[in-house]
Amino acid sequence: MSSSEKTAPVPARKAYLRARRFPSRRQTEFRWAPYLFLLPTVGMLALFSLYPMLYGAWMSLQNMDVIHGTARFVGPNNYLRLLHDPQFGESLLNTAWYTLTVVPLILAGSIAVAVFLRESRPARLLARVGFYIPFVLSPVVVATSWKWLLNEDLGVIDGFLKWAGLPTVPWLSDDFSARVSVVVTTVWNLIGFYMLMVLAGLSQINPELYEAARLEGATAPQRFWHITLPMLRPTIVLVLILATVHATQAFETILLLTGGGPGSATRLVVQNMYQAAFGRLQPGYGVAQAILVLPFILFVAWLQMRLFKQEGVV
Amino acid sequence: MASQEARPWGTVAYDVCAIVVCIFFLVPVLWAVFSAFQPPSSLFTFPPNLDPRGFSLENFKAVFATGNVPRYAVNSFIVATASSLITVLASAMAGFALAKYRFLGRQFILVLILSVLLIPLQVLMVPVFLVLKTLGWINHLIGIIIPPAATATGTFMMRQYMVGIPDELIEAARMDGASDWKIFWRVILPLSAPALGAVGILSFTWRWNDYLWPLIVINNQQNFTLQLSLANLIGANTVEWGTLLAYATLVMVPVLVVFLCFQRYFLKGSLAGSVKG
Repeated sequence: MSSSEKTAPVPARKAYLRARRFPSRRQTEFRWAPYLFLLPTVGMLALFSLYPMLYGAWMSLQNMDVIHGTARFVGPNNYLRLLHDPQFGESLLNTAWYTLTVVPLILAGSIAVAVFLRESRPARLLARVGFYIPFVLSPVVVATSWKWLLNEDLGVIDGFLKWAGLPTVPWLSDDFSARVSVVVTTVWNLIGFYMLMVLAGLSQINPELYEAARLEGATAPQRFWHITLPMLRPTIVLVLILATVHATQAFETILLLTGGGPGSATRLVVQNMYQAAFGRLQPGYGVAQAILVLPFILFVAWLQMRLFKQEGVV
Repeated sequence: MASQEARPWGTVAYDVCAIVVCIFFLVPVLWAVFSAFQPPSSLFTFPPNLDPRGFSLENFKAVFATGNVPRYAVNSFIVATASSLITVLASAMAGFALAKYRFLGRQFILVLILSVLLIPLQVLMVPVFLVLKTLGWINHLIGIIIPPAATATGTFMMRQYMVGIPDELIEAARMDGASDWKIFWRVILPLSAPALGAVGILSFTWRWNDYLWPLIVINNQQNFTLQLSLANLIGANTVEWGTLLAYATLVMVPVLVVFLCFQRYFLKGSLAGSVKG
Protein backbone atom coordinates (compact mmCIF):
# COMPACT_ATOMS: atom_id res chain seq x y z
CA MET A 1 0.00 0.00 0.00
CA SER A 2 2.98 2.30 0.44
CA SER A 3 3.16 3.27 -3.22
CA SER A 4 -0.48 4.33 -3.30
CA GLU A 5 0.09 6.46 -0.21
CA LYS A 6 2.74 8.36 -2.05
CA THR A 7 0.45 9.12 -4.96
CA ALA A 8 -2.60 9.94 -2.87
CA PRO A 9 -3.87 13.51 -3.34
CA VAL A 10 -2.79 15.96 -0.66
CA PRO A 11 -6.00 16.14 1.40
CA ALA A 12 -6.25 12.36 1.49
CA ARG A 13 -2.65 12.13 2.66
CA LYS A 14 -3.25 14.69 5.38
CA ALA A 15 -6.25 12.80 6.64
CA TYR A 16 -4.31 9.60 6.55
CA LEU A 17 -1.44 11.06 8.54
CA ARG A 18 -3.84 12.52 11.06
CA ALA A 19 -5.56 9.18 11.38
CA ARG A 20 -2.20 7.61 12.09
CA ARG A 21 -1.42 10.13 14.78
CA PHE A 22 -4.75 9.64 16.48
CA PRO A 23 -5.69 6.14 15.47
CA SER A 24 -9.43 5.91 15.84
CA ARG A 25 -10.88 2.47 16.28
CA ARG A 26 -12.71 2.66 12.96
CA GLN A 27 -9.68 3.50 10.93
CA THR A 28 -7.77 0.36 11.87
CA GLU A 29 -10.60 -2.13 11.98
CA PHE A 30 -11.68 -4.14 8.99
CA ARG A 31 -14.66 -2.37 7.52
CA TRP A 32 -17.55 -3.76 5.59
CA ALA A 33 -18.75 -0.41 4.26
CA PRO A 34 -16.71 -0.17 1.04
CA TYR A 35 -17.64 -3.72 0.07
CA LEU A 36 -21.31 -3.03 0.67
CA PHE A 37 -21.11 0.13 -1.42
CA LEU A 38 -19.55 -1.87 -4.23
CA LEU A 39 -22.09 -4.65 -4.00
CA PRO A 40 -24.70 -3.39 -6.51
CA THR A 41 -22.17 -2.66 -9.26
CA VAL A 42 -20.09 -5.77 -8.68
CA GLY A 43 -23.25 -7.87 -8.37
CA MET A 44 -24.58 -6.70 -11.72
CA LEU A 45 -21.16 -7.12 -13.22
CA ALA A 46 -20.91 -10.67 -11.93
CA LEU A 47 -24.39 -11.61 -13.09
CA PHE A 48 -24.36 -9.93 -16.49
CA SER A 49 -20.68 -9.97 -17.50
CA LEU A 50 -18.44 -12.35 -15.57
CA TYR A 51 -20.80 -15.28 -15.22
CA PRO A 52 -22.03 -15.00 -18.84
CA MET A 53 -18.42 -14.99 -20.00
CA LEU A 54 -17.64 -18.24 -18.17
CA TYR A 55 -21.00 -19.76 -19.01
CA GLY A 56 -20.47 -18.74 -22.63
CA ALA A 57 -17.15 -20.56 -22.71
CA TRP A 58 -18.91 -23.67 -21.41
CA MET A 59 -21.80 -23.22 -23.86
CA SER A 60 -19.44 -23.04 -26.79
CA LEU A 61 -18.45 -26.64 -26.08
CA GLN A 62 -22.00 -27.84 -26.46
CA ASN A 63 -24.72 -28.22 -29.01
CA MET A 64 -27.79 -26.81 -27.39
CA ASP A 65 -31.31 -27.60 -28.41
CA VAL A 66 -33.16 -24.43 -27.52
CA ILE A 67 -36.62 -25.84 -28.11
CA HIS A 68 -36.27 -28.93 -25.93
CA GLY A 69 -33.85 -27.31 -23.51
CA THR A 70 -31.28 -30.07 -23.85
CA ALA A 71 -27.56 -29.81 -24.46
CA ARG A 72 -25.00 -32.26 -25.73
CA PHE A 73 -21.30 -31.90 -25.00
CA VAL A 74 -19.39 -31.75 -28.27
CA GLY A 75 -15.98 -30.55 -27.15
CA PRO A 76 -14.18 -28.29 -29.62
CA ASN A 77 -16.55 -29.17 -32.47
CA ASN A 78 -18.09 -25.70 -32.68
CA TYR A 79 -14.64 -24.16 -33.05
CA LEU A 80 -13.54 -26.70 -35.63
CA ARG A 81 -16.72 -26.00 -37.54
CA LEU A 82 -15.94 -22.27 -37.49
CA LEU A 83 -12.60 -22.86 -39.19
CA HIS A 84 -14.42 -24.30 -42.18
CA ASP A 85 -17.38 -21.94 -42.16
CA PRO A 86 -17.10 -19.60 -45.15
CA GLN A 87 -19.81 -17.35 -43.70
CA PHE A 88 -17.85 -16.77 -40.53
CA GLY A 89 -14.67 -16.16 -42.52
CA GLU A 90 -16.48 -13.66 -44.70
CA SER A 91 -17.93 -11.84 -41.71
CA LEU A 92 -14.43 -11.58 -40.19
CA LEU A 93 -13.14 -10.22 -43.46
CA ASN A 94 -16.04 -7.77 -43.64
CA THR A 95 -15.34 -6.61 -40.09
CA ALA A 96 -11.68 -6.17 -41.04
CA TRP A 97 -12.26 -3.92 -44.04
CA TYR A 98 -15.00 -2.08 -42.22
CA THR A 99 -12.71 -1.34 -39.25
CA LEU A 100 -9.76 -0.51 -41.47
CA THR A 101 -11.77 2.07 -43.41
CA VAL A 102 -13.90 3.49 -40.61
CA VAL A 103 -11.10 4.07 -38.08
CA PRO A 104 -8.70 6.02 -40.34
CA LEU A 105 -11.60 8.01 -41.80
CA ILE A 106 -12.79 8.94 -38.33
CA LEU A 107 -9.28 9.85 -37.22
CA ALA A 108 -8.42 11.96 -40.26
CA GLY A 109 -11.90 13.43 -40.48
CA SER A 110 -12.16 14.44 -36.85
CA ILE A 111 -8.73 16.08 -36.90
CA ALA A 112 -9.44 17.88 -40.17
CA VAL A 113 -12.82 19.17 -39.02
CA ALA A 114 -11.51 20.17 -35.60
CA VAL A 115 -8.53 22.05 -37.02
CA PHE A 116 -10.78 23.73 -39.56
CA LEU A 117 -13.43 24.72 -37.03
CA ARG A 118 -11.00 25.81 -34.34
CA GLU A 119 -10.21 29.03 -36.14
CA SER A 120 -13.83 30.16 -36.20
CA ARG A 121 -15.46 30.90 -32.86
CA PRO A 122 -19.11 30.89 -34.02
CA ALA A 123 -18.55 27.70 -36.01
CA ARG A 124 -16.83 26.07 -33.07
CA LEU A 125 -19.76 26.81 -30.81
CA LEU A 126 -22.21 25.59 -33.44
CA ALA A 127 -20.14 22.48 -34.16
CA ARG A 128 -20.10 21.47 -30.50
CA VAL A 129 -23.83 20.94 -30.86
CA GLY A 130 -24.26 20.14 -34.55
CA PHE A 131 -21.55 17.55 -34.98
CA TYR A 132 -22.53 15.77 -31.79
CA ILE A 133 -26.21 15.37 -32.69
CA PRO A 134 -25.75 12.23 -34.84
CA PHE A 135 -23.95 10.61 -31.92
CA VAL A 136 -26.90 11.05 -29.57
CA LEU A 137 -29.42 9.68 -32.07
CA SER A 138 -30.44 6.06 -31.72
CA PRO A 139 -29.25 3.46 -34.25
CA VAL A 140 -32.87 3.06 -35.34
CA VAL A 141 -33.23 6.76 -36.12
CA VAL A 142 -29.85 6.91 -37.87
CA ALA A 143 -30.73 3.91 -40.01
CA THR A 144 -34.16 5.34 -40.88
CA SER A 145 -32.71 8.71 -41.93
CA TRP A 146 -30.00 7.18 -44.09
CA LYS A 147 -32.24 4.58 -45.61
CA TRP A 148 -34.50 7.40 -46.73
CA LEU A 149 -31.61 9.49 -48.01
CA LEU A 150 -30.05 6.59 -49.92
CA ASN A 151 -33.29 5.03 -51.10
CA GLU A 152 -33.02 3.76 -54.63
CA ASP A 153 -35.10 5.90 -57.01
CA LEU A 154 -37.21 7.43 -54.23
CA GLY A 155 -34.36 8.93 -52.19
CA VAL A 156 -33.19 12.50 -52.53
CA ILE A 157 -29.69 11.65 -53.77
CA ASP A 158 -30.95 9.50 -56.59
CA GLY A 159 -33.70 12.07 -57.14
CA PHE A 160 -31.06 14.72 -57.61
CA LEU A 161 -29.00 12.52 -59.94
CA LYS A 162 -32.07 11.82 -62.06
CA TRP A 163 -32.98 15.50 -62.14
CA ALA A 164 -29.44 16.34 -63.25
CA GLY A 165 -29.68 13.73 -65.99
CA LEU A 166 -27.08 11.44 -64.40
CA PRO A 167 -27.37 7.68 -63.86
CA THR A 168 -28.72 6.72 -60.42
CA VAL A 169 -26.74 4.64 -57.94
CA PRO A 170 -28.19 1.54 -56.24
CA TRP A 171 -26.85 2.67 -52.87
CA LEU A 172 -27.94 -0.28 -50.78
CA SER A 173 -28.39 -3.08 -53.29
CA ASP A 174 -24.98 -3.30 -54.93
CA ASP A 175 -22.07 -4.90 -53.00
CA PHE A 176 -19.63 -2.07 -53.35
CA SER A 177 -22.02 0.85 -52.93
CA ALA A 178 -23.66 -0.85 -49.95
CA ARG A 179 -20.25 -1.09 -48.29
CA VAL A 180 -19.57 2.55 -49.03
CA SER A 181 -22.99 3.51 -47.64
CA VAL A 182 -22.40 1.56 -44.45
CA VAL A 183 -18.99 3.15 -43.90
CA VAL A 184 -20.25 6.67 -44.63
CA THR A 185 -23.20 6.23 -42.28
CA THR A 186 -20.94 4.99 -39.49
CA VAL A 187 -18.43 7.80 -39.89
CA TRP A 188 -21.24 10.36 -39.93
CA ASN A 189 -22.73 8.77 -36.83
CA LEU A 190 -19.56 8.74 -34.74
CA ILE A 191 -17.32 11.54 -35.95
CA GLY A 192 -18.80 14.28 -33.76
CA PHE A 193 -17.84 12.44 -30.58
CA TYR A 194 -14.24 12.16 -31.74
CA MET A 195 -14.13 15.68 -33.08
CA LEU A 196 -14.99 17.00 -29.63
CA MET A 197 -12.17 14.94 -28.18
CA VAL A 198 -9.76 16.39 -30.74
CA LEU A 199 -11.03 19.92 -30.08
CA ALA A 200 -10.34 19.39 -26.39
CA GLY A 201 -6.89 18.07 -27.24
CA LEU A 202 -6.19 21.09 -29.45
CA SER A 203 -7.16 23.49 -26.68
CA GLN A 204 -4.46 21.92 -24.50
CA ILE A 205 -1.71 22.94 -26.91
CA ASN A 206 0.22 25.97 -25.71
CA PRO A 207 -0.45 28.84 -28.16
CA GLU A 208 3.09 30.11 -27.57
CA LEU A 209 4.37 27.17 -29.60
CA TYR A 210 2.48 28.48 -32.61
CA GLU A 211 3.66 32.04 -31.98
CA ALA A 212 7.28 30.90 -31.81
CA ALA A 213 6.90 28.85 -34.98
CA ARG A 214 5.32 31.78 -36.78
CA LEU A 215 8.18 34.05 -35.78
CA GLU A 216 10.58 31.49 -37.18
CA GLY A 217 8.62 31.65 -40.43
CA ALA A 218 6.95 28.22 -40.32
CA THR A 219 4.13 27.81 -42.82
CA ALA A 220 0.68 26.58 -41.83
CA PRO A 221 1.28 23.00 -43.05
CA GLN A 222 4.62 22.95 -41.23
CA ARG A 223 2.94 24.11 -38.03
CA PHE A 224 0.36 21.37 -38.44
CA TRP A 225 2.88 18.57 -39.00
CA HIS A 226 5.44 19.69 -36.46
CA ILE A 227 3.33 21.12 -33.66
CA THR A 228 -0.33 20.11 -33.89
CA LEU A 229 0.12 16.43 -34.74
CA PRO A 230 2.89 15.62 -32.24
CA MET A 231 1.11 17.50 -29.47
CA LEU A 232 -2.12 15.64 -30.26
CA ARG A 233 -0.48 12.25 -29.82
CA PRO A 234 -2.32 11.21 -26.63
CA THR A 235 -5.65 12.22 -28.16
CA ILE A 236 -4.87 10.35 -31.36
CA VAL A 237 -4.09 7.16 -29.43
CA LEU A 238 -7.36 7.46 -27.54
CA VAL A 239 -9.30 8.07 -30.76
CA LEU A 240 -7.72 5.04 -32.41
CA ILE A 241 -8.55 2.74 -29.51
CA LEU A 242 -12.11 3.94 -28.97
CA ALA A 243 -12.92 4.01 -32.69
CA THR A 244 -11.66 0.44 -33.00
CA VAL A 245 -13.94 -0.56 -30.13
CA HIS A 246 -16.84 1.18 -31.84
CA ALA A 247 -16.12 -0.38 -35.23
CA THR A 248 -15.69 -3.95 -34.06
CA GLN A 249 -18.98 -3.78 -32.14
CA ALA A 250 -20.94 -2.34 -35.04
CA PHE A 251 -24.19 -4.14 -35.49
CA GLU A 252 -27.51 -2.43 -34.96
CA THR A 253 -27.34 0.38 -37.50
CA ILE A 254 -26.06 -1.94 -40.22
CA LEU A 255 -28.64 -4.60 -39.41
CA LEU A 256 -31.38 -2.03 -40.01
CA LEU A 257 -29.72 -0.29 -42.95
CA THR A 258 -28.74 -3.24 -45.14
CA GLY A 259 -29.62 -6.30 -43.07
CA GLY A 260 -26.05 -7.41 -43.78
CA GLY A 261 -26.80 -7.49 -47.49
CA PRO A 262 -26.89 -7.48 -50.40
CA GLY A 263 -26.16 -11.18 -49.95
CA SER A 264 -23.70 -11.02 -47.09
CA ALA A 265 -21.62 -8.09 -48.36
CA THR A 266 -22.05 -6.02 -45.20
CA ARG A 267 -22.57 -8.76 -42.63
CA LEU A 268 -20.12 -8.20 -39.79
CA VAL A 269 -19.09 -10.61 -37.07
CA VAL A 270 -21.59 -9.50 -34.43
CA GLN A 271 -24.49 -9.94 -36.83
CA ASN A 272 -23.16 -13.34 -37.79
CA MET A 273 -23.18 -14.52 -34.18
CA TYR A 274 -26.57 -12.94 -33.59
CA GLN A 275 -28.03 -14.85 -36.50
CA ALA A 276 -26.41 -18.14 -35.53
CA ALA A 277 -27.76 -17.87 -32.00
CA PHE A 278 -31.17 -16.27 -32.45
CA GLY A 279 -31.95 -16.90 -36.12
CA ARG A 280 -30.75 -20.47 -36.61
CA LEU A 281 -31.10 -21.27 -32.90
CA GLN A 282 -27.57 -22.58 -32.45
CA PRO A 283 -26.49 -20.63 -29.36
CA GLY A 284 -23.41 -22.77 -28.76
CA TYR A 285 -22.18 -22.01 -32.24
CA GLY A 286 -22.92 -18.31 -31.84
CA VAL A 287 -21.06 -18.12 -28.55
CA ALA A 288 -18.05 -19.92 -30.01
CA GLN A 289 -17.72 -16.99 -32.42
CA ALA A 290 -17.91 -14.53 -29.55
CA ILE A 291 -15.25 -16.42 -27.62
CA LEU A 292 -12.95 -16.35 -30.64
CA VAL A 293 -13.36 -12.57 -30.89
CA LEU A 294 -13.07 -12.01 -27.13
CA PRO A 295 -9.24 -11.98 -26.91
CA PHE A 296 -9.19 -9.08 -29.35
CA ILE A 297 -11.78 -7.17 -27.32
CA LEU A 298 -9.90 -7.84 -24.10
CA PHE A 299 -6.72 -6.65 -25.77
CA VAL A 300 -8.34 -3.35 -26.72
CA ALA A 301 -9.81 -3.04 -23.21
CA TRP A 302 -6.33 -3.64 -21.81
CA LEU A 303 -4.90 -0.92 -24.06
CA GLN A 304 -7.53 1.44 -22.76
CA MET A 305 -6.68 0.53 -19.18
CA ARG A 306 -3.03 1.33 -19.83
CA LEU A 307 -4.11 4.70 -21.12
CA PHE A 308 -6.18 5.30 -17.99
CA LYS A 309 -3.13 4.34 -15.97
CA GLN A 310 -0.92 6.81 -17.84
CA GLU A 311 -3.38 9.55 -17.06
CA GLY A 312 -3.34 8.56 -13.42
CA VAL A 313 -6.96 7.47 -13.35
CA VAL A 314 -6.39 4.01 -11.96
CA MET B 1 -5.25 33.32 -32.76
CA ALA B 2 -3.73 36.67 -31.92
CA SER B 3 -6.11 39.41 -30.87
CA GLN B 4 -8.39 40.29 -33.72
CA GLU B 5 -9.58 43.84 -33.30
CA ALA B 6 -11.12 44.57 -36.63
CA ARG B 7 -12.55 41.48 -38.25
CA PRO B 8 -11.42 41.42 -41.86
CA TRP B 9 -13.76 40.08 -44.52
CA GLY B 10 -11.61 36.99 -44.84
CA THR B 11 -12.48 35.96 -41.28
CA VAL B 12 -16.16 36.51 -41.83
CA ALA B 13 -16.06 34.42 -44.98
CA TYR B 14 -14.25 31.73 -43.01
CA ASP B 15 -16.94 31.80 -40.30
CA VAL B 16 -19.71 31.56 -42.87
CA CYS B 17 -17.93 28.71 -44.60
CA ALA B 18 -17.47 26.82 -41.32
CA ILE B 19 -21.10 27.33 -40.38
CA VAL B 20 -22.21 26.00 -43.76
CA VAL B 21 -20.10 22.89 -43.14
CA CYS B 22 -21.88 22.36 -39.81
CA ILE B 23 -25.31 22.68 -41.33
CA PHE B 24 -24.48 20.52 -44.32
CA PHE B 25 -23.30 17.83 -41.95
CA LEU B 26 -26.77 17.64 -40.42
CA VAL B 27 -28.56 17.28 -43.75
CA PRO B 28 -29.34 13.54 -43.32
CA VAL B 29 -31.40 14.21 -40.15
CA LEU B 30 -32.80 17.52 -41.29
CA TRP B 31 -33.93 15.94 -44.53
CA ALA B 32 -35.71 13.13 -42.67
CA VAL B 33 -37.52 15.63 -40.43
CA PHE B 34 -38.33 17.85 -43.41
CA SER B 35 -39.76 14.92 -45.35
CA ALA B 36 -41.87 13.87 -42.38
CA PHE B 37 -43.87 17.08 -42.82
CA GLN B 38 -44.55 16.48 -46.51
CA PRO B 39 -47.96 15.19 -47.55
CA PRO B 40 -47.64 11.74 -49.17
CA SER B 41 -48.39 13.29 -52.56
CA SER B 42 -45.21 15.39 -52.65
CA LEU B 43 -42.94 13.06 -50.67
CA PHE B 44 -41.08 11.73 -53.66
CA THR B 45 -40.91 14.78 -55.90
CA PHE B 46 -37.64 16.37 -56.89
CA PRO B 47 -36.94 19.30 -56.63
CA PRO B 48 -38.66 19.06 -53.24
CA ASN B 49 -41.57 21.18 -52.11
CA LEU B 50 -40.13 23.98 -50.00
CA ASP B 51 -43.35 25.93 -49.58
CA PRO B 52 -44.43 25.70 -45.91
CA ARG B 53 -48.07 26.04 -46.97
CA GLY B 54 -47.73 22.60 -48.55
CA PHE B 55 -46.62 20.96 -45.27
CA SER B 56 -48.94 18.60 -43.48
CA LEU B 57 -49.23 16.59 -40.27
CA GLU B 58 -50.84 13.65 -42.03
CA ASN B 59 -47.81 11.41 -41.49
CA PHE B 60 -47.81 12.08 -37.77
CA LYS B 61 -51.44 11.06 -37.53
CA ALA B 62 -50.62 7.88 -39.43
CA VAL B 63 -47.96 6.99 -36.84
CA PHE B 64 -50.60 6.43 -34.19
CA ALA B 65 -52.46 3.99 -36.43
CA THR B 66 -49.44 1.65 -36.61
CA GLY B 67 -49.86 0.32 -33.07
CA ASN B 68 -50.28 1.33 -29.48
CA VAL B 69 -47.73 4.12 -29.74
CA PRO B 70 -48.58 5.86 -26.42
CA ARG B 71 -48.01 2.54 -24.67
CA TYR B 72 -44.59 2.13 -26.33
CA ALA B 73 -43.73 5.68 -25.30
CA VAL B 74 -44.64 4.93 -21.67
CA ASN B 75 -42.55 1.74 -21.82
CA SER B 76 -39.57 3.63 -23.22
CA PHE B 77 -39.95 6.24 -20.55
CA ILE B 78 -40.19 3.70 -17.71
CA VAL B 79 -37.16 1.80 -18.97
CA ALA B 80 -34.96 4.86 -19.50
CA THR B 81 -35.89 6.45 -16.18
CA ALA B 82 -35.67 3.33 -14.01
CA SER B 83 -32.46 2.14 -15.59
CA SER B 84 -30.69 5.46 -15.28
CA LEU B 85 -31.78 5.87 -11.64
CA ILE B 86 -30.21 2.49 -10.92
CA THR B 87 -27.09 3.47 -12.85
CA VAL B 88 -26.77 6.73 -10.93
CA LEU B 89 -27.20 5.15 -7.50
CA ALA B 90 -25.04 2.09 -8.15
CA SER B 91 -22.21 4.03 -9.74
CA ALA B 92 -22.33 6.71 -7.03
CA MET B 93 -22.00 4.03 -4.37
CA ALA B 94 -19.20 2.24 -6.21
CA GLY B 95 -17.50 5.53 -7.02
CA PHE B 96 -17.62 6.55 -3.35
CA ALA B 97 -16.09 3.26 -2.20
CA LEU B 98 -13.34 3.48 -4.81
CA ALA B 99 -12.60 7.15 -4.20
CA LYS B 100 -12.74 7.42 -0.42
CA TYR B 101 -11.91 4.08 1.17
CA ARG B 102 -8.75 2.10 1.45
CA PHE B 103 -9.51 -1.57 1.58
CA LEU B 104 -8.12 -4.89 0.58
CA GLY B 105 -8.63 -5.47 -3.15
CA ARG B 106 -9.46 -1.88 -4.04
CA GLN B 107 -7.11 -1.70 -6.99
CA PHE B 108 -8.21 -5.12 -8.17
CA ILE B 109 -11.89 -4.20 -8.07
CA LEU B 110 -11.29 -0.92 -9.87
CA VAL B 111 -9.45 -2.64 -12.69
CA LEU B 112 -12.06 -5.40 -12.76
CA ILE B 113 -14.95 -2.95 -13.03
CA LEU B 114 -13.38 -0.82 -15.72
CA SER B 115 -12.12 -3.68 -17.86
CA VAL B 116 -15.04 -6.09 -17.55
CA LEU B 117 -17.61 -3.40 -18.16
CA LEU B 118 -15.78 -2.44 -21.32
CA ILE B 119 -16.73 -5.79 -22.79
CA PRO B 120 -19.74 -4.94 -24.89
CA LEU B 121 -23.11 -6.57 -24.39
CA GLN B 122 -22.98 -7.48 -28.07
CA VAL B 123 -20.33 -10.10 -27.47
CA LEU B 124 -22.08 -11.59 -24.46
CA MET B 125 -25.64 -11.38 -25.76
CA VAL B 126 -26.24 -15.12 -26.01
CA PRO B 127 -25.21 -16.17 -22.48
CA VAL B 128 -26.77 -13.03 -20.96
CA PHE B 129 -29.99 -13.94 -22.75
CA LEU B 130 -29.89 -17.35 -21.09
CA VAL B 131 -29.23 -15.76 -17.69
CA LEU B 132 -32.31 -13.60 -18.18
CA LYS B 133 -34.28 -16.65 -19.21
CA THR B 134 -33.31 -18.39 -15.97
CA LEU B 135 -34.35 -15.31 -14.03
CA GLY B 136 -37.66 -15.25 -15.88
CA TRP B 137 -37.00 -11.73 -17.15
CA ILE B 138 -37.57 -12.41 -20.85
CA ASN B 139 -40.45 -10.35 -22.17
CA HIS B 140 -40.50 -8.18 -19.07
CA LEU B 141 -39.32 -4.59 -18.93
CA ILE B 142 -37.04 -5.45 -16.01
CA GLY B 143 -35.02 -7.55 -18.47
CA ILE B 144 -34.03 -4.39 -20.35
CA ILE B 145 -33.74 -2.20 -17.24
CA ILE B 146 -31.24 -4.06 -15.08
CA PRO B 147 -28.63 -5.73 -17.35
CA PRO B 148 -27.29 -2.54 -18.97
CA ALA B 149 -27.43 -0.53 -15.72
CA ALA B 150 -23.87 -1.19 -14.53
CA THR B 151 -21.65 0.98 -16.70
CA ALA B 152 -17.92 1.57 -16.64
CA THR B 153 -18.44 5.18 -17.70
CA GLY B 154 -20.79 5.89 -14.80
CA THR B 155 -18.55 4.33 -12.16
CA PHE B 156 -15.54 6.02 -13.65
CA MET B 157 -17.11 9.50 -13.81
CA MET B 158 -18.46 9.28 -10.25
CA ARG B 159 -15.13 8.13 -8.87
CA GLN B 160 -13.25 10.89 -10.65
CA TYR B 161 -15.59 13.49 -9.26
CA MET B 162 -15.62 12.17 -5.69
CA VAL B 163 -11.84 12.00 -5.45
CA GLY B 164 -12.01 15.80 -5.46
CA ILE B 165 -14.30 16.02 -2.40
CA PRO B 166 -12.17 16.97 0.63
CA ASP B 167 -11.65 14.18 3.16
CA GLU B 168 -12.06 16.69 5.97
CA LEU B 169 -15.80 16.77 5.35
CA ILE B 170 -16.05 13.02 5.74
CA GLU B 171 -13.85 13.04 8.83
CA ALA B 172 -15.94 15.79 10.39
CA ALA B 173 -19.15 13.86 9.76
CA ARG B 174 -17.56 10.76 11.22
CA MET B 175 -16.55 12.68 14.37
CA ASP B 176 -20.20 13.61 14.72
CA GLY B 177 -20.98 9.92 14.77
CA ALA B 178 -22.49 9.60 11.29
CA SER B 179 -22.62 6.10 9.86
CA ASP B 180 -20.98 5.30 6.51
CA TRP B 181 -24.34 5.25 4.77
CA LYS B 182 -25.33 8.56 6.32
CA ILE B 183 -22.07 10.11 5.21
CA PHE B 184 -22.72 8.87 1.69
CA TRP B 185 -26.34 9.97 1.66
CA ARG B 186 -26.06 13.31 3.49
CA VAL B 187 -22.56 14.51 2.63
CA ILE B 188 -21.30 12.87 -0.53
CA LEU B 189 -24.44 12.72 -2.67
CA PRO B 190 -25.41 16.40 -2.28
CA LEU B 191 -21.84 17.45 -3.08
CA SER B 192 -21.76 15.25 -6.18
CA ALA B 193 -24.87 16.72 -7.78
CA PRO B 194 -23.13 17.77 -11.00
CA ALA B 195 -21.64 14.31 -11.56
CA LEU B 196 -24.93 12.63 -10.65
CA GLY B 197 -26.67 14.81 -13.21
CA ALA B 198 -24.13 14.05 -15.89
CA VAL B 199 -24.30 10.28 -15.36
CA GLY B 200 -28.10 10.37 -15.15
CA ILE B 201 -28.53 12.35 -18.33
CA LEU B 202 -26.05 10.28 -20.31
CA SER B 203 -27.61 7.01 -19.24
CA PHE B 204 -31.12 8.28 -19.87
CA THR B 205 -30.24 8.88 -23.51
CA TRP B 206 -28.41 5.55 -23.82
CA ARG B 207 -31.36 3.62 -22.46
CA TRP B 208 -33.88 5.62 -24.49
CA ASN B 209 -31.88 4.78 -27.60
CA ASP B 210 -31.29 1.10 -26.83
CA TYR B 211 -32.25 -1.22 -29.62
CA LEU B 212 -30.22 -4.42 -29.44
CA TRP B 213 -31.24 -5.35 -25.93
CA PRO B 214 -35.01 -4.83 -26.36
CA LEU B 215 -34.75 -6.68 -29.69
CA ILE B 216 -33.45 -9.77 -27.93
CA VAL B 217 -35.48 -9.61 -24.73
CA ILE B 218 -38.91 -8.31 -25.76
CA ASN B 219 -41.18 -10.25 -28.09
CA ASN B 220 -44.71 -9.25 -27.20
CA GLN B 221 -46.11 -6.00 -28.56
CA GLN B 222 -47.37 -4.97 -25.11
CA ASN B 223 -43.82 -4.36 -23.90
CA PHE B 224 -42.36 -2.82 -27.06
CA THR B 225 -40.30 0.30 -26.69
CA LEU B 226 -40.52 3.10 -29.27
CA GLN B 227 -37.21 2.08 -30.85
CA LEU B 228 -38.35 -1.50 -31.20
CA SER B 229 -41.67 -0.66 -32.83
CA LEU B 230 -40.03 1.81 -35.21
CA ALA B 231 -37.44 -0.81 -36.16
CA ASN B 232 -40.24 -3.29 -36.83
CA LEU B 233 -41.80 -0.82 -39.26
CA ILE B 234 -38.50 -0.48 -41.13
CA GLY B 235 -38.45 -4.21 -41.61
CA ALA B 236 -42.11 -4.39 -42.71
CA ASN B 237 -42.88 -5.59 -46.21
CA THR B 238 -44.55 -2.41 -47.37
CA VAL B 239 -42.68 0.65 -46.21
CA GLU B 240 -44.76 3.78 -45.71
CA TRP B 241 -41.95 6.28 -45.85
CA GLY B 242 -43.97 9.24 -44.64
CA THR B 243 -45.13 7.39 -41.52
CA LEU B 244 -41.69 5.98 -40.86
CA LEU B 245 -40.02 9.40 -41.01
CA ALA B 246 -42.68 11.01 -38.82
CA TYR B 247 -42.19 8.21 -36.30
CA ALA B 248 -38.42 8.67 -36.36
CA THR B 249 -38.91 12.40 -35.80
CA LEU B 250 -41.09 11.76 -32.74
CA VAL B 251 -38.64 9.21 -31.35
CA MET B 252 -35.65 11.54 -31.59
CA VAL B 253 -37.36 14.54 -29.98
CA PRO B 254 -36.83 13.61 -26.28
CA VAL B 255 -33.16 12.83 -26.78
CA LEU B 256 -32.59 16.03 -28.75
CA VAL B 257 -34.31 18.10 -26.07
CA VAL B 258 -32.23 16.49 -23.31
CA PHE B 259 -29.08 16.95 -25.34
CA LEU B 260 -29.72 20.60 -26.18
CA CYS B 261 -30.58 21.44 -22.56
CA PHE B 262 -27.65 19.62 -20.99
CA GLN B 263 -25.08 19.88 -23.71
CA ARG B 264 -22.08 20.38 -21.45
CA TYR B 265 -22.67 17.05 -19.69
CA PHE B 266 -22.29 15.23 -22.98
CA LEU B 267 -19.02 16.99 -23.56
CA LYS B 268 -17.88 15.81 -20.13
CA GLY B 269 -18.88 12.28 -21.02
CA SER B 270 -16.91 12.32 -24.22
CA LEU B 271 -13.85 13.66 -22.43
CA ALA B 272 -14.10 10.77 -19.99
CA GLY B 273 -13.60 8.64 -23.07
CA SER B 274 -16.95 6.96 -22.80
CA VAL B 275 -18.11 4.64 -25.47
CA LYS B 276 -21.89 4.36 -25.37
CA GLY B 277 -22.42 2.36 -22.20
